[in-house]
Formats: sequence, structure tokens, C-alpha cells
Amino acid sequence: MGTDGVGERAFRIDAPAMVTGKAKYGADIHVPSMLHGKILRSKYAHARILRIDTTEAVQMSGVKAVITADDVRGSDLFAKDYVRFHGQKIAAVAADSVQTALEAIEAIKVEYEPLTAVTDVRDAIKPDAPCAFIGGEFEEVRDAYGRPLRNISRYREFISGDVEEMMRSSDAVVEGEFYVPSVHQSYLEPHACIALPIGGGKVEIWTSTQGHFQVRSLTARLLGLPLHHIKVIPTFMGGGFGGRNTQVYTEPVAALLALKTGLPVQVIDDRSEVILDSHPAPACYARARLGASKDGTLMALDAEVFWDGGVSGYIGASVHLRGLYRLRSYRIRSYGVYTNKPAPGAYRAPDAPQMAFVRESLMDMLAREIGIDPWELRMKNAVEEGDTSTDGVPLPKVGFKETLKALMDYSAKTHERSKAAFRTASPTAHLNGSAPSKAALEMLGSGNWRVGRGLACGEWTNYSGYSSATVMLNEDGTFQVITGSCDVTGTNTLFAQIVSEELKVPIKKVSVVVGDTESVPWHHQTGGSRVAYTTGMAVLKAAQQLRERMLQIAAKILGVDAQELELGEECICVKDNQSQRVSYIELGRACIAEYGPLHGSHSIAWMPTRPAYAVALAEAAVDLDTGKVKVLRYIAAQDVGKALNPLAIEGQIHGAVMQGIGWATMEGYKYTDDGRVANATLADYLLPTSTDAAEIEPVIVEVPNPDGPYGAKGVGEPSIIPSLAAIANAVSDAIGKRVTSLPMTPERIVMVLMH
Amino acid sequence: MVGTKRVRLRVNGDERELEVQPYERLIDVLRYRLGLTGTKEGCSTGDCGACSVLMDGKLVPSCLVLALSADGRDIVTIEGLSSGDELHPIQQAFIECGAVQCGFCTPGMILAAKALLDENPNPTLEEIKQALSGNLCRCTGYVKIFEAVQAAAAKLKLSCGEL
Amino acid sequence: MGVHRFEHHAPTTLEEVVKLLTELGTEAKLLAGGTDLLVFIRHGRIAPKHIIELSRVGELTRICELESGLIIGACVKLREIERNSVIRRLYPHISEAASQVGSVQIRNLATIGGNLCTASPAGDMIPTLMVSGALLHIVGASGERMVRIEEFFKGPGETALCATDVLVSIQLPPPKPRTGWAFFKLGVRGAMDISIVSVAAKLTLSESTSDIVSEVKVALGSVAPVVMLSHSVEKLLTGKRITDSLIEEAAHSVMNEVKPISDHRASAQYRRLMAAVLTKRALKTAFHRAVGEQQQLTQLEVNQGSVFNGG
Repeated sequence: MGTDGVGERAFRIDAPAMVTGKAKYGADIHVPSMLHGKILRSKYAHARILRIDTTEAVQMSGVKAVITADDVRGSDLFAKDYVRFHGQKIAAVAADSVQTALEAIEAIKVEYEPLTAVTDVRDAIKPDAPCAFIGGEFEEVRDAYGRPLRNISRYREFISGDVEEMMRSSDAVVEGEFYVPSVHQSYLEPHACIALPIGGGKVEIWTSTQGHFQVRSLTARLLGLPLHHIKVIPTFMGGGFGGRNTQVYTEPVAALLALKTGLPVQVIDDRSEVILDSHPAPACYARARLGASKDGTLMALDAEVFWDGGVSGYIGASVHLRGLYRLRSYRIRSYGVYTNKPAPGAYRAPDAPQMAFVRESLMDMLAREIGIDPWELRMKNAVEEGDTSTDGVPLPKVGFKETLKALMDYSAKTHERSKAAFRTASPTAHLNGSAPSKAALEMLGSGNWRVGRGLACGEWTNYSGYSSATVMLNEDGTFQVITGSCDVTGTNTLFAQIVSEELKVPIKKVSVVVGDTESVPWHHQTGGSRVAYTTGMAVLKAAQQLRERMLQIAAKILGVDAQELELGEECICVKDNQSQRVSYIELGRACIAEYGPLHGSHSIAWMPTRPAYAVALAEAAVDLDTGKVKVLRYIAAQDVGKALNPLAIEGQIHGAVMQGIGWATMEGYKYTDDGRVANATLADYLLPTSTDAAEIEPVIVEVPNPDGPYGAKGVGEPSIIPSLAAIANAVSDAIGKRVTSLPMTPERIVMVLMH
Repeated sequence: MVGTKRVRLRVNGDERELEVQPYERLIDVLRYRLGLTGTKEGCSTGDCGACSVLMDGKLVPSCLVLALSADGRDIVTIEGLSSGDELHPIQQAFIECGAVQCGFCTPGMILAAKALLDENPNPTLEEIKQALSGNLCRCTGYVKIFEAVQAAAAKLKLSCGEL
Repeated sequence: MGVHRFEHHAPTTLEEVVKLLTELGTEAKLLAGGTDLLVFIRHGRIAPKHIIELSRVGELTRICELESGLIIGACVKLREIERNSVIRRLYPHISEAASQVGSVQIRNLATIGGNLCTASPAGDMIPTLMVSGALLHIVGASGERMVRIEEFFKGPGETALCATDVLVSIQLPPPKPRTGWAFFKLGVRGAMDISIVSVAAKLTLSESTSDIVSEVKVALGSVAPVVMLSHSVEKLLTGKRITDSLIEEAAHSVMNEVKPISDHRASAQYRRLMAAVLTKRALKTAFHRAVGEQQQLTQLEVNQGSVFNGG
């Protein structure tokens, strides 16, 4: 079976635990005398809290503790004077059964004075909008037309060149108003943890998270505890996608209840609570125009971007709008806006899909306007080495053009597999609402179907962050890897592959563990496509260090010079005399007995990173009668630098694209007139099912990154970035009208067709 | 007024008899009474499929079955699929096809695949999509799950001596 | 959101069920499949003190084919409705509708009677049974009776059942020759959707070889407080020769008949438009099936995703 080294399609080493149900997730740690915690949440989106009466709940039989804001003064764990979004925490209860806990929170009486709520960023900025955050700090700014704006929390602008002048000298200018809804990461595992008091005012928390050090610091801050009184142990995690990145949910509540009662407390959010009180991707409203000369040279980009910032007034990274093309000039005005929603959070390439939707829609409009192939237009303006990056520095060698070319080559090669329609001159050319191919029709069934094709591009520079790794030789010749990076995507498997690659041992002899907050140095959270990159590099360096030490000890044992030795699958031997050898088992034993335990360790404080590119071609069918959209085929080309595990990378691309399909066609928060979430169940908050799956074809491109491990770049995020735009461009192509608001539900399409 | 009642279940081949509250669900009994935490709770309303188990051979969401409704029934959970370290061909196929990412939907997904293949050993891709439509997966885009079910079907046919 | 405490009863005969209902009154709820009831309890929409489970009452789970038609027990699972060969042969639209409810695991629990008694305007089984002329057999403390399905629904979640009544079975008259059926539902996803609009149609052509409509029924879901039959379609098409333009006209006419609301799933305007689109599709399909275009039928089964496993 080989050694499953780097570049191999290694199976996940933790998959046997998952397929047998043995893997323990946040809700799966059960201990004797465990209590159950439940959280009382606001039923209003915006209200003044007049009174909270817990008397009845406290007296209920089986109730062990009731906590409110009064128990954590100076912390915003629980709402105190105001509730500012539907589902905000008000109180919590620990009881001896879930039933009793639920009955107790229902027995807590809260008197509210309802206030007007605003949950749509487009409403929140209007001059007559209600104030979303009483007592908040606001920016007094006006929009591009000089109109005063309400509820603005932050304002930033990014300017280069003379936009007005460049617009005037453009031969073609396209413009649009765009809206992308807020969507939930929708990790399938609800927030869940257990907190155990371990004496001396200390608490141990087992939780499902992307960053246990972040859980520790946030919990400590919210409860006013020193860090060393909190130990966080990460469990298996049922998806995160950024949502469990630097966030806490049930952890501080469970910890406080555990400390109050002196008993272990399990707290599990149900799905409605997950949808209501978490940190989804922000909605975004943008007005933008793009100008170009008639040969397609981009001249000017002018945009105003309004981020639906929830209670934190979050402002997104509008600079992603500028992105990956050479632009003669640009002016991006970016606004963070308070609304009565939870603070937005990270979701796979945060803010980039929204910005790519705006930019790549404009690019598609421009291609039509000046009559140029959409692919040619991108190729003509694509950044390359020496151009300025999003961060304003000169770019090193990047792989954008290579990725564009790879997509074109693959499309041309597989053109006959097109699900949408018969051959066109160029595999990326618009189809202009063609009739579907016979194969597509068979799949689609009855309907007045038209098909279209959409191209879009995205850029993403992964995060570095801090990581460390230790690789040890065990006394039986097996190996142990220890890091502090929670495994989201199969990175533990990759670490085993790296050890296998460096030490020439089979992957099955390598075990990988994620240390808790008291066992390993501080790590950044798993996110920003950084773990295979930074932690991977730490493992690589640690393995190399261990190899050197192993060779040194082996040299001593064999009485030869270390340079004369080489590593094999089972042993270290003399290059010229294979019979002169020491097996890993002997080496391991000898170290414990004589030379001291052998390990290699490496810490990384920061690593240079490079942008990676994702280029997507979507083929979609639209039923003109009902408006129903079906993504038929989706080609996703992505530059990964070096494919460390193609099986895992394909999985990342498939998943990212499917999340994009969901965001583009069905997902999104909906609100009642009074600001409550109208779709807080999975019957109403629609996620793609197996029947919505498209044929997704990953095209892995390898433009090496000399700074990354084996040349790798960040992988998990890029492919979601162009997905909204690629699908919207395909749908617009199919129906002959531009769709600028998401999601593209059947109703929205029919309304676009009618107007 | 409310009292416990006795319920008899056959879980993964073992006879179990226990006292349950009338409002306890099958998933509560499996997870909290029997320690079978391989059955996952993702939505509590039958919309995600993570809690799916086989009841008398039929796939059901265990969050929508009262423990008392399961009285006298035969229940198979993910823990009952493999014998010792020997994985069921569907489990093996999920590993080898890369159909497992976070693993949270996996137990329910594998049982849904088993329910399908028990009834229809040669499913088409369209039939696989239909059979798994009640099991949400957020990580894989379903692509490799379909491949795994197809691979498992082929493996099971071989092990039955079919060609 | 809470999980309320309740008492559980598992009678084995209809008499016991009625007796329990009589004793417990409005504090009791019948549990058929539980896919609606247990969700409603969890969301706090209802809080019954007693649950009377029907799954152990044998006579509620039978399907009988008689000369007078087909009798489907109220507690027959939707999965069985989907796969039963008699239903698929005689009333393919009912199987097709069943196959589009929820998921396999939901259909293994959910029952046809439960779908009726939940009385959702979006209940997918209701339009198909309505165009089939279903009679509902009800047993209660005051005896038994038959109720025509169009008289069963009184409002969203409200039926003609009184507190001691149990829906026992659904009786379907045998289909006349040269009858075609169809069912279409519109959702956002490929599966697991609550209908935005659903339409069932039945079209019977006269005995001769002409295309004269002798009987037609179209029922629409999610466009009014209860599933409704279209009178305008009946009026426009009965006795007429089917043409594309006539179908077009009939489909158009339902837009003035429906009384949809706007909610988070769709606006009233969209529902009104789609009522016409789906009516047209349903009438066309029913017509094709009535004249025996079998190929069309197979194709449509595939199209709608009502692909049967095994079977």
C-alpha cells in the first residue's frame, strides 16, 4: 500500500472512529451526576428588559442553579438592560434533567418593553431607520450621493488613482446594485460542551471547537477568571467552517453553572438556538460600477459596500472587491452597519464570496457589453508577478493565469461532457439561454428549461498564525505527533503523511493527537486555511529534527558516521551495507533505556503566505415557468501550490462548491416584520440535500509556493469565493436578465423575469 | 401523574429492558441510557437525518420516535454495523472514497445507505440521491458519498458471490 | 421549544382508542407517525397531557382492494403508499405525492391519515386524495360515519373530527377507464420541501376515442387556508375537447380562484402565478396519461424524482 507520504491519496486516520460511531463529539461526553443546562433566550429582536424574575425557577425541584447577568457583572454573556437580537441569552439553568431545565427556563419571567427592530442593512441605513443599538457609537457619514446614513458603526475607504477621470475615459461602464443575504455556516453538529469543576475554582471544558485556546480566553474574559483556571479539551467537531473559529457558545454558560453547582454540567444548543444565537456570514448590500476600454482593459471600479454588522457593527473586508485584476483606479467606500442581529462571524473565506459576487457579476456584464469572451476578459486583466496585491504590496509569483488556463484546458478537453447544451465556440462562452442537451433534459424533467454558463474567479491568501508541533519516537518504533490545531479537514492525517514522508515509515505507525490547552503551546485557531500550511510546516520541521536525532543515535549504536546512514521503512541502515542496521523498535528502546527519549519540536510564530486562486465555470438550468434553478455541472479549478493529499483537497473543493450552491440558490436568514428570525428550523432554513448536488469536477492546479510546506498553499477556502458569482452568471446567462440579489430562489427568478 | 413505563428493545442484537419516561425519545434512550452516542442529534425535528437508525430494518429518525413506540422493536445503530474491528463494507467504502469529513452526518448517512442497499443492491445514481435526501451533509458536497455508496454496492455484490 | 411531559397510551383496538378519547377529552392527542405531532410539541405549539399511540391498532394499517374501490388504513405509512403496487397501478398520483413527502426516514414514520389530520394547507397527500373522490371513514363515541374529503378540512389545522373521533380509513372509488392523474409540487430544493404550491389533477375522457372530457378535477395546495378544488377548471373543461389553448385558459382561471397568503416561503403573488403553471402541467400530464401515453408516464416518474427503490 506504500507509505502514504505527501502527495498520496491517504485515507483519513480518524475515519474508523467516525464510521463506527466511536468518535466523541461535544455532546457525547457523559459523566455520572451530570447536570443539564438550558438557556433562556430573548423572544424579541429589540427590547428593553424591565425585570427578570427567577424566583419560581430557583425553587423548582431538581433545579440546581439559575444564572443571569447579575452573576457575571461587567460581561455581556447575558443581556442585561437591552436585548438586541432574537435569541440573545438572558439566563440559564442547571437541573438534574433536560425536562426540568426546560421547565425552569420557561418559569423565568421576563418583562420587556419592545422596541422597533431593524434587520435589513438596506433599511438600517435609511434616514428614518430606528436606532439598532441604543447607547452605541456611530459614525456620522454620508453616502456617495451625499445622503446622511443611519446606524453606521464604522467607515473605511480604499482609493487608488482618479476614479472619476478613469470612468470618463472608459468606453464601457456597467453598474449594478447587489445584495447577498446572511447565511449560517450550518455545521451539522449543534453547539455542545460539558464543563467539569476540578477543584480550586478550576473548570475543565470538553467542547467541539476550531480553537480551544480561543475558547479558553473568551470564557475567561466573560467569567472574569484567570486563564490557568480553565482547561479546554477539544473533542471531535461536527463541522465549523469558521463558525467555531474564535467564538464561544455554550462553554461559558456551562463553566459558570459547573462552578456554581460544583457538578459537571452539559449544555447543548438545539438547532433553533444554533440558528438564532451564533455568528453567521454577514449580509452585504453594494452599489458598484466598473469601467473599461473597448479592448477590455479595466479602467475604474467605484463602489459603496454596506455590511450588515449586527450588534457588533461588523465591517467586512471590502478590499476583496478590488481583488485579482489590474485596475487603473478604484474607490471603495465601506460601511459597517448596526442591525438587530447577532454579531457576524467567519464563514469560509470571510467576506470574499460577497465581494466576488459583486466584482465577477460586473465582469460578466462588461464582457457582454464590449463583446469579449468572459474568459478572455479575465485573462487580459489577471494579476501576475510584480502587480500590486490586495494588501498593496508587489506580488511574488502567483498562479492566477495558470489556474485560468487550467480551467480552459479542462473545459475544452471535456467539452462533450457539458450538461448544459451542445458545443459552443469557446467552452467558457455564454450560452445565451440555450435549450438543454438531451442528457440534461432527462435529468431535469418537465419544465420550460433554459441553460446558461457562468465564469467567475476568486483570490485568497491563507492565514499564517502561530503553531507548534512535536514528533516523538515511541519505544516500540511507532511515532506520535502532537500539535494544538483542531482537525477540521483531515489535517491530522496530513501530519501523519508528513512524518511518513520524512521518516519513510508507513502512515499506520503514526498517531496524531491534538493537545489540550494545558499540554501544548498556544495556537491560533483552525481557520484561514492555515493548519496544513503553518502547523504542517511545524510538523515537517519537527520530523526533520527528529530524523537528524534518530540518525545520530543510530550512528552511535552502529558505531558509524551519521552521514553513512539512511532511513528505511522499519530501520535505519548503513547505505553501503544494508545488513548493518538498527530497527526503529531497537532505536526506540535504546533511547528510553540509554540515550533519553527522542523527539523533534518546532514552533512557528509567523510564515510568509501567498495568494491562491480559484476559477469556476458553472452550468445551470432554469425553468422559466417556475423559476427553479438547477446547477448541472460545476468545474472548480484551484491553485493549491502542491497537492499534499488530493483526496482531501477534492473533498474541500466539493464541500466549498456545494456551500456556494446553497448560498446562491436557497440559503439565507428570513425575518418577520418585528425582526424575529422566521426560519429558525432546518425545515425552513433550507440547506442543499443530496438531490441538489451538482456534478462538481475539481481541477487541481499546482503552482508551487516556495514558502509553504512542500510548496503548498492554503486550500480549504478559495473554492467558495467565486461560487456565488459563477452560478449567478450562469443563471443570468440562462434567462437573459441579470440577477443581482441572492438567493436565486424560484420566486426571485420569476420576479426578475417579470420585471 | 406521569410515571415511567417498561420498554423492551433489541438493540444491536442485545435484549434491553428499561424504565423510560413516556416523553423520552428513542434517541435519548440510545444516547443517555445505553451510551450509544454514535447516533447524533443535529436538529431534533427530523430534518437532518443525523439521528437515523434502523427500526425493524427500516430507516427512521430516532428523534421522532418515542421510546415507548419502539417497544418490542429491533434497533440497529451505527455501533451495531461492524463486528469488532471488522468494518462493514459500507463503512470501509466511506473511508476509502473520502466520504467522511467531519463525521457527524456519517453514522446516519451510512445507515441510510444500508437501508437503501438492503432493498436495492443495484441503485442508480438518481436512486442513491433520493435515498439519501433526508441526510444532510455540509462538508462533502455529497459527491464522494455517492461514490462510496456505489463502491459499497459493488463490494457487497462481490461478497455475495454475484458477478 | 420545550419537551413537555405527557402520559402515553398504546391501545390495540379502535374501541379502546375511542374510550380513551372520551375519557381524556381535549387533553389527549392521537399519535400516528409522530412526524408532525412530536415536532409541534417540541416547538411548544401544542402541549397535550396525553398521547394515544395508534400504531398498535391493527385495523388502521391495512390496505384492501375491493370491488367498490380501495381502502387505505389511516395509519398506513407514506413509504408503503409510495411503493404499494396496487396504489401505483390504480392511483399513481397518490404514490407520486407520497414519494415527495420529506425523506425516506420521514416516510417510514409518517402516515396518510396523519397527513390528512394535520390539515396543513400544504399537506401533499390531500390534493391527490381530493381529486380521487376520497371518502373518509370516521369512528367516534357517537358511532361511525363517512365524510367526503372536501368537507373534512375546516381551516389550517382544523378538521371535521370532534374530540372523540378517529380517522380509520380512506376509501377510494375505482378509477374509471380513460382516466389520467397527475401530481406536481413546487419547492426550492430537490427534496425535503414543504410545498410552495401543489396541484393534483384527474381527467377522465369519454368512452369514445375522442378527446372529450367527461370528468375533471383539480385540487390545489398551499394557496388557501385549506386545500381547495377548482370549480372554474371543472366548468371550463367538462364536456369539452381538450386543446392546448383550453388547458391554458383553465390554468389561467385558477389564478382568480386561489386565495394565497404571503409568508417566508413565498409571496401570494408568486403562489398565484405558480398555481396556474402547475395546473397547466398537471392537466397536460393527466391528459397524456388518460389517452394512455405510457412513455410519458415513465418519463415523468423519473422527472419528479419518484424513483422507487427495489420494488
